[in-house]
Amino acid sequence: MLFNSLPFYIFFPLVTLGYFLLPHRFRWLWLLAASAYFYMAFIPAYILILLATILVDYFSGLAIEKAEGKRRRGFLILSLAANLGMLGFFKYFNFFNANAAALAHWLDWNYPIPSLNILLPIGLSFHTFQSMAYTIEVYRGNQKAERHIGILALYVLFYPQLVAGPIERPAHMLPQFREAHKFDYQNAADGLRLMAWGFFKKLVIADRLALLVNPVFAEPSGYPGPLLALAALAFSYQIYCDFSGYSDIAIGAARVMGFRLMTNFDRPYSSHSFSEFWRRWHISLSSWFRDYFYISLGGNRVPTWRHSLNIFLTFLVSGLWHGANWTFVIWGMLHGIYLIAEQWMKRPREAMFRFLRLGRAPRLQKALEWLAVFSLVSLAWIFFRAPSLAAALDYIQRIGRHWEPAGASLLFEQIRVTLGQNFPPAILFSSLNGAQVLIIVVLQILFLEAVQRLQRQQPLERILAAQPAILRWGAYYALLANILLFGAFEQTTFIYFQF
Amino acid sequence: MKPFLQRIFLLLPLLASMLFLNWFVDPAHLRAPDAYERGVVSMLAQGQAVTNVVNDDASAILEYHILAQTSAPDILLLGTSKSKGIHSDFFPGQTFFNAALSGSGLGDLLVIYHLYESRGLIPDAVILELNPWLLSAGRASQSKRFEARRAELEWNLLRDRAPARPSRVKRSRFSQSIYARIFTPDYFQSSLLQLWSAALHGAAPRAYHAGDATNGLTYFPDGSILVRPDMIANLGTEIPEAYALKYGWDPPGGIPLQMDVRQRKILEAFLARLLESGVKVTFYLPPYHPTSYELMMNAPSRFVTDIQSYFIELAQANRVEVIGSFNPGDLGITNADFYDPTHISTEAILRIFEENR
Repeated sequence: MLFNSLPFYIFFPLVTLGYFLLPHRFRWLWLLAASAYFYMAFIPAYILILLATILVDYFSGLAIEKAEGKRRRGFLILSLAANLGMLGFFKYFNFFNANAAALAHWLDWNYPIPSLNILLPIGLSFHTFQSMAYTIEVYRGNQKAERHIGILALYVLFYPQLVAGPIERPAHMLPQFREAHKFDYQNAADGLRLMAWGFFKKLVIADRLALLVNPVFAEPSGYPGPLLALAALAFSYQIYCDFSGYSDIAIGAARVMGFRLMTNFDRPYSSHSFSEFWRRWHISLSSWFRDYFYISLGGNRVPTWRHSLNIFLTFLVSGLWHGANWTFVIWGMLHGIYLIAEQWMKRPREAMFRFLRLGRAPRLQKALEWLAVFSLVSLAWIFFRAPSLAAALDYIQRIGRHWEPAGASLLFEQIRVTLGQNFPPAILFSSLNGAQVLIIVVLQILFLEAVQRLQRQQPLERILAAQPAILRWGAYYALLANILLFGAFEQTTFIYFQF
Repeated sequence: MKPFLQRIFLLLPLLASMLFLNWFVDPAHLRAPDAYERGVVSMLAQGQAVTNVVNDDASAILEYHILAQTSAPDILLLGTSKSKGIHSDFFPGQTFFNAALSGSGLGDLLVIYHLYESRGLIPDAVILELNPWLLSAGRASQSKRFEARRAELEWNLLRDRAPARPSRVKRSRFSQSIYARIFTPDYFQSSLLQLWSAALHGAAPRAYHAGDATNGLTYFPDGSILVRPDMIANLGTEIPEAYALKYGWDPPGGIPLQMDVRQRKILEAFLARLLESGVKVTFYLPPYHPTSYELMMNAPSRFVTDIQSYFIELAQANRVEVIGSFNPGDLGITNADFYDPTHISTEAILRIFEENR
């Protein structure tokens, strides 16, 4: 079930109402049933994968807690093998098999293993990682094994974060399922505000930008360089608004019932360094990799070269986590290289700033840092979005072509027919040209950035709550009217569902 | 919870105004299915041109229009919007009906022809507009209205059985989808647009009337449709060009990467049935926009040339005349002949037909 679909608009209030009307002892069962229904709205049979994961991790958790020494480690390995095996089979088998076949073909060897005709279960990487966090924490002694299989199942299946996170930790979530939440006005109001904000990001910005991004990335040869550059920048905002919008809706839906999910995004495009970017982007995943992979490799308590290698490997695996394609691997590797280069170049960079006397203009220095980070992050997104490595390289090459001023009118027509597709303002005001459509969309992005800037001090919901009723309700009405008038209602799935 | 619910009710005016507008404007005529279309057809049947037709169910208009006829035309045209501009002046001295339906799949063509055949009305000649997507299993039918009948007709055709009588259209006044759509924000956007558009032209949002085109489309008694000339003129050449680029990689209706065997059998059986009934068949292959076609030749869509070869071989094997080509270069069709990225002007179609006479 999609958050931006009519069934969810019915599902959400019913489940929330049922949750508060039921006695506390039945609530876990209600939420579990609702979450299973939510997941089964995609492909019902795949719930069996989740059940298998839950069973393996439930018994592994109990066994790890009971066992000592090597047996403890053995049960952990069993659990991780089951989880990663499932992930490997459904997500990576065809990728590695195709590469092995290509290698065999190159070596002129016979390779008989065919590809499998299987669909990737929705959100597999998310719930697998959440499950693994549980057994690892039990193994590390930070978490007691969960005795109640229903509660553990709910930890994996909890519908708001089931298919695209945030990837939660057992110590944060499991106790919350035992709390007897009472209906709280503030929680409900905060949750709904956050959901509305998430819908704005998804429907008004992400899905609108997709109308430009999709055709341009599908056939870059049909468009001039400026449009390719614009589509690459648009994708940076599309993926951010799509994914952070999903997270906002998920966090908001959970908050209405009294659950606190972890923050997943914190204005990532305001970052002035790559390390800052990764503290702000997909926080639940980057902290997962930090806690369970990077630190296991030795983290930064190793020689410098090894530290750099640890960073590189972490980002390489993170890239592969996003998808079974070399484009994601390269995207991860690029970010690994960015971070390593940032560390190694720290002194030369400071020397250069001194030479340019940027110390006297700290704002300019900050702006240059921001520009460098945003440009390089956007460049890496091209690999993330392109269907293949060759397509990504071709796309980047083509950005430099056809910047002639004479092509401007066709360029704006192309913006009009892509970005302005089914755009009520563009149809209402038939004279609206491509440039005006672009301005309206850019204004929406600036509005997003302005609100996010306001959130530096305190969350949006708190800011709104502090305003007089007339202003507050005016803002609600304006936001909802904005969604109704400017939203792109095609019921597109969220990009991160595919992971 | 009570104060929360009370405050939530403050949002009701927004929801209520959305529902009210959706209900009042009802751009897809959900409240009274077919009443709008029946009204249009009653005027067409009296020989009047009907204009300001907005958000109509074109398949319903076509069905009622055909059922209002008591004799078969000399020439019947089956096809898509690409042929909708063909009118009776193309064929002086003969009766003509344009039964083309926008975006038709092969199944739709079967159902439309069956509306005549099942009543014993057999035309002398049929012009069959062929598009690549006719051979795509995923595009067997565009019209939900014809879906059930399409399946039944295909089944009969593949087994060489006589067609059954057309089953009556069963539609409840309020189907589930009506409730669903009336609550959707995209329907609200459509309502708003229709209201705005009608206000701009000084017309009621759901009005249609006899006479020259003022807003929307004009339907003619011979089944042809006129797109308002100033709408075409306003488009210029850049908008079609920009869309044509887009359609180069993603042609509307898609182009199959292989010919579906079942669809081929259905087409061949349909052609055989027409010829057996003594109908003279002509294939019409509408040209693509030159910009789209050029891009398509560098993409998987170049398979369109194989599909054209198949249509031509099929015609030759059955001694059927072929007019047109998917390749605009074969016909001397240029960008200027397109009033939008997929449709050529009526004058350009006439030129293609005249060259084949």
